[in-house]
Amino acid sequence: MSVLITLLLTALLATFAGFVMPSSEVRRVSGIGFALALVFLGVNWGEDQVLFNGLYVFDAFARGITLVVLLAALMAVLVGTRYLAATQAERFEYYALLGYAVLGAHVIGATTNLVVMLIGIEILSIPLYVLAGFRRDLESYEASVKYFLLGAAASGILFYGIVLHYGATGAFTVGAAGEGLLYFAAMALILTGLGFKVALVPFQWWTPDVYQGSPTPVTLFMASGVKAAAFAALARVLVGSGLEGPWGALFALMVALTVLFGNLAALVQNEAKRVLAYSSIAHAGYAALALLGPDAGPALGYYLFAYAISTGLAFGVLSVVDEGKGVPYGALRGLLQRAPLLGVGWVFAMLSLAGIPPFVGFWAKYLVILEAARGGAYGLVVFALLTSVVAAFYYLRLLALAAFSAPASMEVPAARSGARFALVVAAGLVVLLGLWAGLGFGLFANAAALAP
Amino acid sequence: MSLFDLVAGLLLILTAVAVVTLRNAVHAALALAGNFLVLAAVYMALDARFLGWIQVIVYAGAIMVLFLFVIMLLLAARADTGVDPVPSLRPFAGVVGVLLLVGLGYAVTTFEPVQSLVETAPLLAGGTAQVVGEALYGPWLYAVELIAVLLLAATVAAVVMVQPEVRRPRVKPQVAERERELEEVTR
Repeated sequence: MSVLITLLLTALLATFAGFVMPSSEVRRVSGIGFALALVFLGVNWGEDQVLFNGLYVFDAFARGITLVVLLAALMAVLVGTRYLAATQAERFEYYALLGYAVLGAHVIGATTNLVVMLIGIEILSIPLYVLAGFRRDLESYEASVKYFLLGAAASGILFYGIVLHYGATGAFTVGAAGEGLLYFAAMALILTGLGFKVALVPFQWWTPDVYQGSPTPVTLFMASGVKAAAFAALARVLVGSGLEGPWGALFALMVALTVLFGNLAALVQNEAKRVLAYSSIAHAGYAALALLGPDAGPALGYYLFAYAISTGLAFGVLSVVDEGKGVPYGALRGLLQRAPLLGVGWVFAMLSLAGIPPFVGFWAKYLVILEAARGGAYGLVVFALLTSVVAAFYYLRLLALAAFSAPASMEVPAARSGARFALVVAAGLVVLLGLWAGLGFGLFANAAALAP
Repeated sequence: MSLFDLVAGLLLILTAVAVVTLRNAVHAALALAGNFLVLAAVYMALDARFLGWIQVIVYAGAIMVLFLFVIMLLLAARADTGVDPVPSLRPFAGVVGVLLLVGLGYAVTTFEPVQSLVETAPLLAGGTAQVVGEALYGPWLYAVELIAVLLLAATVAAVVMVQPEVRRPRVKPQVAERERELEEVTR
């Protein structure tokens, strides 16, 4: 409850503070608000809360998702400044819209009611449509329009699915018992709508264009925070309804296609943001592996957490390097020599995303694969392992560019102190949680019960 | 099936087809407004009276008017006729649509209601504002509050989207030249 109220007040303050103070002060307001929510989250860590007639369920899984979203939002605030100034897009509304998006993500994570989930998805999505078009150029507008049109269509499908779910089960709660063709149709439509939000194949087409066109700090938040929130909804629905019969097979097929398509398409890109977009599709597939296991909560939560700090670190570095025109491979050449901090961050992020020990990404991948194996999906496990070897190729190529190529010029992108702090913390977490895996996993260990 | 069901159903389908097929955007928008009106009547016939009136007031009265404003402001009444980037998709979309219709129709006709309508219908009490209000400010209070936040967020988002670019004070070249000279003099 205190987290919810803090996030609401943060968004409201950021909305109205901009009328009387410069945008740098609004940045401070929203940063402090998110940090305060993080503190309240820590204080209330062990307590489950069910409020508002069961519409607000603050359990272990909700806390984990909120933690991931808050970390992503803090990264987006801290590294966003320089990018926004460089692209003449620095307006205080950035922080206000980010505040609403974080609130929406928290609402999605902390409910088992489909209607509230839907409202949360809209509170999250509508500010993001605008944030995607925050830079005033055609590429950014294109990202915004594409995201909005496809997102609205996906929301419509989700609406219809929820209505049919009510028809088939008589309840809006996830996991309500239902059977028959109408229930199947409802679940298919819900899976389509949520599959779009997490970018599972074949609903992933918007991801590369939107990730590439959006301002880089916004992409950071989309890849880490939004993905976590969308997965929270998907996990609650799928774990609640169970994955028996045709469901399991259909979902396993989607997961297989997702890891295959994401990794193969990432091989042939030549722009860093676009590669990471395809890589995020593949990572959605890996995270979804956990849902095939008998006890999805901890593994999925930990994967989202690990992926959020790794990809947050990668996009954080790109936010500093990017001048608003994307990051072609040449811009990363010799980053380690030109700017050691950025270079080290980039190398760590790539190693972690590739799943190489002893970085946090390795343990995350290990846990989801273990979970899928416990669920008996051995063929899929082998397939996912093979595709993750393919993935190592493009991650190591990006790493090699930064670490071993000779730089074209010695121009050093200057990170501001806030961004430097965020990058150091993220890089530290990637290593620390990799070396001491139990520390991070302890946060999610009791997130077992997802459905009411 | 009464005469009302038949007429309303036909009107709904006809107006919906018109919305999708008419090339003139104003005509399509008016057909959509007609669709909303018929839908409102259907809601009322299904004992959801308050919702029916809201449908008229908000959808037909506010949203469609906004649509018409936009269409007229952008002079977009005539769509890009003759420009169909992927004409090969059209039959495919038709087939998928028909499949969806058949599947959902089959699902709806074969399913057994989980709650008996004879028992639950009296609980609706005609769907007046009183019952709806008791539900909204009782069990659904959290959702209502969230929707308030959603509307505020959407307002902020819409304002940001259309906000004109902030104009920075531009320094004229002559002024810049003069400032440079002054700097040299002081040095």
